[in-house]
Amino acid sequence: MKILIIEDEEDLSDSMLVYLSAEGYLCEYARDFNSAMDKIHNYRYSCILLDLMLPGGDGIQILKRLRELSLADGVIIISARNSIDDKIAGLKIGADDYLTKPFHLSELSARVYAIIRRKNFDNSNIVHHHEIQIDLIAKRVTVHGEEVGFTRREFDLLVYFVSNTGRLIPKSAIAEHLSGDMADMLDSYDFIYSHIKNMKRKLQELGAGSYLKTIYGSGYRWEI
Amino acid sequence: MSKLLNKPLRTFIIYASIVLLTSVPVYFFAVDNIWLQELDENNEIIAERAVYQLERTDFRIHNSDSLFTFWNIIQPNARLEKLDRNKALPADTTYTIYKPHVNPDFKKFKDRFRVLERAFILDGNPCLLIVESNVEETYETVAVIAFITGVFFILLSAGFIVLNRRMSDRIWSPFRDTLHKLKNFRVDEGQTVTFAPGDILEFEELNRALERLMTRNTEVFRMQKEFTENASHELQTPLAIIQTQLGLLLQSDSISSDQYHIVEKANKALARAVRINKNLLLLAKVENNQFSAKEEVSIGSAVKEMVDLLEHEFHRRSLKSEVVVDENLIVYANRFLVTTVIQNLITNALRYCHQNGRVCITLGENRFTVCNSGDKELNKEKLFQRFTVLDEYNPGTGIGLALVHGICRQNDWDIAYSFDAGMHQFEIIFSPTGHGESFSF
Repeated sequence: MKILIIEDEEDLSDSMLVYLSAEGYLCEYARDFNSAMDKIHNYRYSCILLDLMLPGGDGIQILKRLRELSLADGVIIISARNSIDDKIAGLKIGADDYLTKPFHLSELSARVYAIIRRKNFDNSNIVHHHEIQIDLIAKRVTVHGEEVGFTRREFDLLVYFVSNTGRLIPKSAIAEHLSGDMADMLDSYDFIYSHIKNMKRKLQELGAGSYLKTIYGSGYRWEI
Repeated sequence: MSKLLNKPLRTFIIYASIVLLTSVPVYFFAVDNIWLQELDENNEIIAERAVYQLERTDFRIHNSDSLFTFWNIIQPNARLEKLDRNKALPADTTYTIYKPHVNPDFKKFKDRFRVLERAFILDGNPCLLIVESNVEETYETVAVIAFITGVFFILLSAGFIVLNRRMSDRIWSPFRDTLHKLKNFRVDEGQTVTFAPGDILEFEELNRALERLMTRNTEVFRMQKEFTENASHELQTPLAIIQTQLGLLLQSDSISSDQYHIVEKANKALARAVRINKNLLLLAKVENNQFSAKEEVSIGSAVKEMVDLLEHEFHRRSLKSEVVVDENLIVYANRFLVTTVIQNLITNALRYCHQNGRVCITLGENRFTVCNSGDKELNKEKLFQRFTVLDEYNPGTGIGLALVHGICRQNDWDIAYSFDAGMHQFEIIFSPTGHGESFSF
């Protein structure tokens, strides 16, 4: 699966590229408006990460062009503009998601994962992980064919871990993922414990293996 | 506080009363003296005429004794008395005497008389002519003068007050206009204020000076906002680079537990920097009125969602929560800003509530109230300012309440803080009219 990273900030695009490549995606990048336009005309991508402020033009124009060409590429806008209006405008024009800078790489990875599965490239919206089966569209999880009674947040957490399989996810990133803007306000990431505990318990009750490992006391890793 | 024109008015009235009061004895002495002099003159004329006529009387025809008797019966303002033959004729004397009233009913009132005694020779015998004229009594004179003075004082004061009122209405109308515009002036709205031209030099100067001041203030404020916005914006990319680099660092195979915790600490500090930055940017935008898109927002569901998210936190810290939410309350405002206000107030209450404390969240009757147990009252003056540290042991971003305040102001909502019986309370009253309209159904 190919991903195009349109971002003029080299350090940023590099780290995105490194992280996503390790997830198994084939990543390319474009650092300005024109090369981004070239790429979208010539190649197909499963997901395009689009910065709105680019040298040589507005990222929104790239998005418009993509939609004019009726291309199915998933688009995540990655912007420093944390404006709701921008977000709504972007989503209206046809972006699939909107991520505000700065962000955790694990969050980016989860968003990319969700879009690619949702767009159903290679019929991938049902994910199998050993005895666990996750239906991303119906938001249902079964273990050995038996449905797990997850809350919305627990389901969200599971998908988050699975989409970052094998990666060490710090507690701070999970907190931000779960509560968005509120994570820092509370200044305590303890509230994520109970969610994770419940999620693990519900999986194990139905006989799933314990794939979620605690690392160094406060980090987590979903292992194969 | 008294009005400006009332100050000189009071002084004028005090001065007038002093002048008029001192005028009472002065008038009295003047009137009394004139009165006595005139009566002396009058007595003199009477005495002269009487003595002249008496001296010309032919006593060969008229018996002097019967004249004496007759005269003293009639008493035409004067009495005649015989003097001792052996003594020399005394000089004229004038004096004032008091005599009881002639009418026995008014005995207790004494009449004042001015008296002239003149000695002369009548038919060879020394005689004394005593002329008496009634003078107005002292107290009567004083009373009349005081009464008249009082009347004038009242006329004068009433005139001052009426004139003052009329003048202040007219003269101060441009000033009131200026004051009204000043009161409505808000530096963050970027409006320009123009004053109506007038014909009073001082007010014109004041208006020109104010216009300059306001224009400059608005400009400075605009630049400051722009600066905040640009600075926050520019900070976002480097912050993003730090965060992603830290994320990469965590993925290296050789990372140790110590290194992991160092990265987590950096992550935590970074998250705070990010939050401060975002809030600053948000505040600048709120002050810039950049959230113009308004809609009907159901506050109830927003509050419920927040409470739901924080339920574990309430439980973990053994906080007693009392949540009463009217789910029908609708507010016409920007959805994102409404959520921001709710989020900030509730998380603040939770954050600053001590262990085993109480947090209550009430939504209804057009108001939203959040309270939590606390130790001492917060500094009301600084509460809503940026970067005010209210709790040195538990510092937040320092912008949350400033942001809440800014949003409330943009929507014309009232926000108030109070501390009562160990509970901090923040209350927002949604405005019933205008754009910040709210209603129930």
